[in-house]
This record gives sequence, C-alpha cells and structure tokens, in this order.
Amino acid sequence: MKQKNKFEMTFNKTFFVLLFLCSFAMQNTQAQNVEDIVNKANKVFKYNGDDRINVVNMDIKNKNGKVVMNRELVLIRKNDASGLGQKWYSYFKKPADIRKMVFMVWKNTKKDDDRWIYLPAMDLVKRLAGSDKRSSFVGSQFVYEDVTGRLPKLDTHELIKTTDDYYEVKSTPKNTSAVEFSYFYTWIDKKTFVPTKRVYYDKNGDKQREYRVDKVEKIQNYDTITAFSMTNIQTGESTYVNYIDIKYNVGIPDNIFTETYLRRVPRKWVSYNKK
Amino acid sequence: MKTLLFYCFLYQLIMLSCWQIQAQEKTEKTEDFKFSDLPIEWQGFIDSRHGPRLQSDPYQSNSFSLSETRLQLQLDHWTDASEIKLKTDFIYDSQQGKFLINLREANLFLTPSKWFDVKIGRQILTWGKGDMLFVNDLFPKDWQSFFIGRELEYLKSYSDAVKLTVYLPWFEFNTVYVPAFNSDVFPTGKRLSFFNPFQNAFVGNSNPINITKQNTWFKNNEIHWRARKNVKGFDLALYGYYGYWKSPAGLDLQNGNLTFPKLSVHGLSFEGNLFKGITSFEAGYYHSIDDANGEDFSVRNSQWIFLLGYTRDLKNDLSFGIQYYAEMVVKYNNMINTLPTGAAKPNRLRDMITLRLTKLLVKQKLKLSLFSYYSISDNDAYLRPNVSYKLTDAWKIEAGGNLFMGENDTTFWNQFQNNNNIYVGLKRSF
Repeated sequence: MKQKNKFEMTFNKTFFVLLFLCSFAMQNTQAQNVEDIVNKANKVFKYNGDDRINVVNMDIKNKNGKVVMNRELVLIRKNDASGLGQKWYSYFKKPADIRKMVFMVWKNTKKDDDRWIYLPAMDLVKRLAGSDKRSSFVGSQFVYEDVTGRLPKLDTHELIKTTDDYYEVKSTPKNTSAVEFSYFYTWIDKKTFVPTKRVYYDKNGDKQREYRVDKVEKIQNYDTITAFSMTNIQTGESTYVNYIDIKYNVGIPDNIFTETYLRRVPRKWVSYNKK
Repeated sequence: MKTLLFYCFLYQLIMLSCWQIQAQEKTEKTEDFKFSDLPIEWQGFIDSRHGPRLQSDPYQSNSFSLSETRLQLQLDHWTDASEIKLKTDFIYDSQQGKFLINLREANLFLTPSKWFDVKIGRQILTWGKGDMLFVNDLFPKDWQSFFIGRELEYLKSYSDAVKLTVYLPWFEFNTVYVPAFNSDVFPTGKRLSFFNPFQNAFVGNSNPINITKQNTWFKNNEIHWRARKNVKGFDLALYGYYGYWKSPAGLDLQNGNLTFPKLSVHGLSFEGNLFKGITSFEAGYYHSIDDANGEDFSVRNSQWIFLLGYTRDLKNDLSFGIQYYAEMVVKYNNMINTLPTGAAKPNRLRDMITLRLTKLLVKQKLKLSLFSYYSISDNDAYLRPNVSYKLTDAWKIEAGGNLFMGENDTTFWNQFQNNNNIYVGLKRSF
C-alpha cells in the first residue's frame, strides 16, 4: 500500500512536471508561431524577390465613392543584402503639378529612415525628416509607412484565432505615442501568408481604417497583391490602388538609390514598361 | 533674343523629325499607334497672378507690383542615355504692358556612362543646404520674382552653362562652366524700390540704377564646383566658385554705375538625420578679389557666411524649420577706416533667424505656410505668408503676401518696405 502510494506520488509528480513542461513548450511554440506567421506575412507583403519594379495607379475617392484625385507613379524597391532594410525610389507621373518629382526612402531598421525628395523645377534635392511616417502619402488614405511597410518588431503580436483559411493576429504598438492607432488586426492567408485584410482601431476601440486586398496574383512564382484599398471607416473616404506591370528580380543597381539619380532619372527603369 | 528663337525653332524641328521617325517605326511595327507611346512628354501650366502694393510707394507709379498671366510649356525627349528638355514661358505682363517669351530651360543631358554625365545649355542649377538662403549656391537667383509673389520655382533663375559630373568610386565631382556671367535678377528700381547705399537714396522707377553689363563670352566667365559624398546617410560636400558677385557689389567711380566685382568662394556643408529631424550646416568664405584688403569702399568686402539649420516634421502634417544665418566682414577695421565721410557705419556682423511653418489640412489640399526672416543685427524682418488650396488635381488657388518691416529705413529687409504686397493666383496644371 505504502509502496503504491509512493509510486502514485512519484507518478503524479512526474505527470505534473511533464504537464508543466508541455504547457510551457506549447506556450513557447505558440509564441514562436505568431512571430513566425507575422514575419512570413511581412516577407510576402513587402519583401518578395530581391527587387521589384511596378507602376502604381491610385484613385482617391470621396465618401460617395467618386474618384476625386488620381496618382500614378513608378515604384522601385530593392531589398538590402541582409536584414529588413530596403531602398525605395518613386517617380511621379501624375498629377501634373508633381510630375517628374522623385521621392526616395532608405528604410532603416535601427534608426529613422532617410528620405529625400527631388523637385525638378528648382533642381532642388530636399531631405525630409524620417521621424514622421504616419502622415498621409500624397493625400491618400495610406500613410508613408503603409507604402514602405511597418517593421514587425515595432509591435507585439498575438494570435487571436486560427480559422480554416486565416490566422487572425492582433498587433499592439510598443511605442503608442509614435502612431495614431491603438492596435490593429490582420487576417493572414494560411496558405500564402498574404495579409488580406487589416483593420486599425483607435483608442476608444472604434474602427479607424480598413485595408483590404482585392486581388492576389502569382507573378514569377511570388504571391503578389495587385489590387488593394484603404478605407477610412470614420469618414468613408477610400483609396484604391492597382499595381501594374510588376517585375521581380530585374537587377536594379544599388546606385540608383542615391542623390545622383534623383537628378539623373534612371530612364531605363522609370520607363521600363514603355518598350 | 533672335539667336534664342532660332535655337527654339531648330530644336522644335529636330523634335518634330524625331516624332515622325518614331511614329513611322511604330506604325510599321504595330497598327495600333498611340500618341502616348511617343518618346516625348509634354506638360505645363497656365498661371495668372496679381499683387497690389499695400501702400502707395512714392518711388513707383504702378500700384501693382505683379500682374501677369503665363503659359509654361515643357517638352522632353529622351532615350536611355540622353535627354532633351525645352521649357518656355509665354507671359502677358499687364504690370509692364508687355508680351514676353522666356526660355527657362533648353538643354541636352547626356548620360553615356555611369562614370560621368554632362548637361549643356540653359538650365536651372541648385546646390547647398539653405532653405531660401544660399551660401555656396552661387547660381543666379531671381529675387525680384521672390519679392513680388511669383511661384517659388522662379526664385531660381537659369544659367547658360555646361555641367559635367564625374562619378569617382569615393565621391561625386560636379563642375559647372558658365561662359558668360549670369547675374541674379535683383531689384533695379523699375518694379521694386529700395535703398541704394552708394547714392544714399531710395531708387524707384523714375531713377533706376545703372549697371555695367559684364557678360562677354569667355571673358566674363564663372566656374562652380562641388565634391560630394554620402557617408552612412550623411551628406558631406566641399564647394568652390570663381566668378563675380551675383548682385551688384561695386560702384564704378567713373560713371556711377553699379558693377559686379570679382569673387571667389570656398565652402563646405553637412546634412543628416539627427535629433529626430534634418540638421544641416554650411559655411563659405567669400573672397572679394578686387578688394582683398577691404580698403576700397566702392567694392564689397570679403566675408564669412555661416548657416545652421534644423527641420522637423511634427504630427498631423505640421512641419517647421529653423535656421541661423550669419555674415561677418573679414577686414572690418580696414572697412571702417576707409569709409567716405558721412557714410553710415555698417555692423561687422549681420545675422538672421528664419522660421518656416507649414501645415497641411483637408487631405493635404489646403496648405498654410509662413516663412519669416528676422535679422537680429538689423532688427528688421521679411514675412512670407501663403495659403494655397488644390481644388482638384489640376486646379490650385493661392494667396499670399510679402511683408517687409523694421526699425531703420536703410537696413536690408526694411529698405523694401514700400513694396509690401499681397497677391492672389490661379493655376491650372496639365
């Protein structure tokens, strides 16, 4: 009897230790999982290929859905050889008053981004402070950070739900004073890891902006978002974007992301789709 | 002017033939020829703006300092290794009662190699780190346009020049050669009145200043150079200039004309992302060659110029920029000792603070901005408020002012006080 008790006690102890270890491990894998999911989604969202070039067509709509403004630009992006740093070059074609303007960003992971703008009428290269990434991008519902992508390390992520098709992830900013939202939810496609929907909430828990993917295409074997929109839930205004003529791994040279090429527009790339 | 028009004509002929050749090639290849497929881009705007003075000016007969409508047309033709640009302004200037054609840019830009490129012809050139203040940028500025309320792009006037850029592995080197000196466009009295220290009197449209032209080709030339490098996001540059003061800085004692004495400038600049904003520094040494010792009162003295700047974006589309600017006479004692009797004694230091505030509202369609200069040493100021609203992508309305004020009638900004103006403008871009 005593013997049995001793055995039971040992068993119980072992069982609980195992259970504890198991739960710890499970917790750990879940934590691992959500980071993995977010990182994978981030790669698919903004880092496909070594470089990419495409035309951006942007319709800015009022609350009645009428197109009130249109922007067209050529967007060139190149990933740094390692890490999450990137360089972005955008050449504006529309509207007419900013045609030929160039906007360049060095997305840095450890310090503020470096940003330049080139105004050809004055031959003026102007540096812009990289600290404010949350203001509107050329009057659209997108902010600058939506264009170049928000680094996952700026938020803490929580896997809220896993459905048959999606991972539903809640992301809360670590530094709330730098952003206008309190948290956001992202729906990530389980198969492709494309973030297909994202909703931003304000501090009252009300919906602020909603990002929605309208079309995903396989381009050079990369799952690529080719049509998407952002709606300001509170005002009803929205911006619809189409990515046209997308090309990956075209061999964009590093040197075009320099002040030199703000003035000396790389025609070969900026007009890549005109040939 | 005739030669210019001839070149315009020639250029347009070339463009036209390019067009036809390209069009033929296209139509041969494919049936569905589209205008937009042509390797020519054109764009432009129509802008009408009018600005009355806020007070009557005893030295000017016209109560408007600005009243004009202009059409700007720009044509570009390019290949992978070259670009031709032609930008022309057709202006009806009702303030002057004249029709004008102003060729703003007409240049050929060749980029045959990644090691160098060259731009030949009439071009707009800018470098340096100042915001509406210039230290090492000795390219011509049109201060008159700036003071009467034309669009900001007109602050930069053109140079007829050759610009060569060489890309070396460790830095970039630019040289600009201007065969015939291009001065600033400065007030002469014809449109804006100001104080002429050489005459010790205000100058207006009844007594504009006389200037000795110094634009003989290959004789009155200027050279600008810059060596530039980006080190981990920080822009570093060295600059040089050999030419003439860009605005009159000398007096011809024989005929009383104002002149552009010889000038050389050497300087440096730094700019980077620091303290949550863009921090910049620029310095230049202006060596007045014709008066190296500073003993000739009829030629402006050598001086040091320093500029320190900081700009930052705050939240909600609000940004600000602040600059400190200082000019310091090098041989001040010599200057004081050789002043003509009765002449006002200038300060050794002229320094200034500028402040820029910009706020965007209504989906960035409404822009409120204020740029102000305040001179600490002179106790005078120049304020440039501006409001613009984009009705659509194409249409923009704008209103603003140019307000000069100060204590003493003869200080740099306050001498323009009779020209205080407000203006309105309407622009259609296409």
